[in-house]
Amino acid sequence: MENSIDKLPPELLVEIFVIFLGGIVEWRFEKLHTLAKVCKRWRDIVLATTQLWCGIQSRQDPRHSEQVIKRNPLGPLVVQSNSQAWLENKAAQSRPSRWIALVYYGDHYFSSLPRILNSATSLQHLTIALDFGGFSPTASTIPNPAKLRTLHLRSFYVPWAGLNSLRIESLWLERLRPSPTDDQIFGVLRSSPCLRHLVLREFYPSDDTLLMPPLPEPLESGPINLPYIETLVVEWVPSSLSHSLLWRLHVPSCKILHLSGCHSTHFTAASSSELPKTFRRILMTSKQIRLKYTARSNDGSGPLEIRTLSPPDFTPR
Amino acid sequence: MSAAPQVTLESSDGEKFKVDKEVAERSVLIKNMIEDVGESDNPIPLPNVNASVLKKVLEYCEHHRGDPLPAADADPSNDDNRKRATEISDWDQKFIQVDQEMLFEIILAANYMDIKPLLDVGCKTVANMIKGKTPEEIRKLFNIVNDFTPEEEAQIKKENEWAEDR
Repeated sequence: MENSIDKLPPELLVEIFVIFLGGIVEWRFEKLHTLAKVCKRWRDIVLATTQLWCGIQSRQDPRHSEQVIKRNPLGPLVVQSNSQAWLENKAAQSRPSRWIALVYYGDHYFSSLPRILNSATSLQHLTIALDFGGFSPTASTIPNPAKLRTLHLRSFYVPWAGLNSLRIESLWLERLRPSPTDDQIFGVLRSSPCLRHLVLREFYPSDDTLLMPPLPEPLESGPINLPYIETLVVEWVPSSLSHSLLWRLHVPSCKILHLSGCHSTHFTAASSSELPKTFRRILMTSKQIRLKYTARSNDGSGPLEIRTLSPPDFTPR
Repeated sequence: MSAAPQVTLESSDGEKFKVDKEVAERSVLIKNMIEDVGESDNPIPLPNVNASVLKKVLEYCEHHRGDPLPAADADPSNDDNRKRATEISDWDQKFIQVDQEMLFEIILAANYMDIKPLLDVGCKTVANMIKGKTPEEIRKLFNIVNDFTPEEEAQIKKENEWAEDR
């Protein structure tokens, strides 16, 4: 029987392999080996294509990294680490200036991190997620923020001044101490018109304000248009910020809106007529939004529960 | 109201297709040919695409006629990110539900005619077919002959024992 896939030239098979290997931070060494074991032709293409050898990870056998660096000595690399020592020694030997993505999950900040970041001048994706912060590295910068497409920071210093005029598509800010000001957040949103995913989480550890009466219209209430936003998650941030966000953001392409632990998101409503005014406002800007929110009883004593509303639950009548 | 300008395309097997210029120009190859040659009544030959495949490609172009075209000077890194995302819209998924021979012919035609979004749909479809499969399952799926000798297979296994199933 004829084999149709053999009609594809190597460059088209490489296109398919790149997609199969996944997004830059989902890249997996094992998938390359699957491809390389199918037949001689596929093996030759996989072994000869530098572009496919692009990820090193601290949690994998060191021979993975050695093979990748051997086959791809100069091209772009994705670096994933949960080990400070590995990042400082092994990964640093791979020439950070060619890293296009760095994903670091660790306990604490360490003093050489700013130096490593400063030498990673090609980063498009940066994730620094620390379990514990407790530092103030004012010298930390993102070396070439114009190239960044995704920025995920947890318990890490945010170089607000360097975040202007970015083309970031995914911004995830979590457990920031001190909590950012509304001006800092809105400054970034105003200068990131390409945003597709925005997650703001746990700036504010307490739910003391959840039972406050409804807040008035924010003093500065001009709309901020984010036409490409598909996902908006706002959880446990100060009331003033969540209130302003819900009031001011226009997100016509938003498909997922997830709100928890924010003042004015705790309510028991199940229909649009009962939704708080700030809520209705953001829902009206999108026809396809799916809202997931936290609800509790009116007196605040009942258990929290997650509820989901989809159109036409909140379709304006 | 004047009719939309049209062009005629000729498949490798000599069949002619009269389509709106706007639809044909989803193909960068055709767009460039029209720009180079200027307005003409002569059919535009597509010697690498047969009639059944061209009909299918034009169905895609017709459905997406109003979509924004990918920028020629787009950032290559964005292009890479776009390709790496594996989502396919509902309409495109239904459109690409064809037998394997047609699927690979569409990919080749999209590549030849330079229709990047269609090429993406085709490549993503094949990538999704491979996902989660073992080498043996991939061979079976695409009718690929395992041309490794037993010795080569043993060598590959030995070289990469540490990389298996981690």
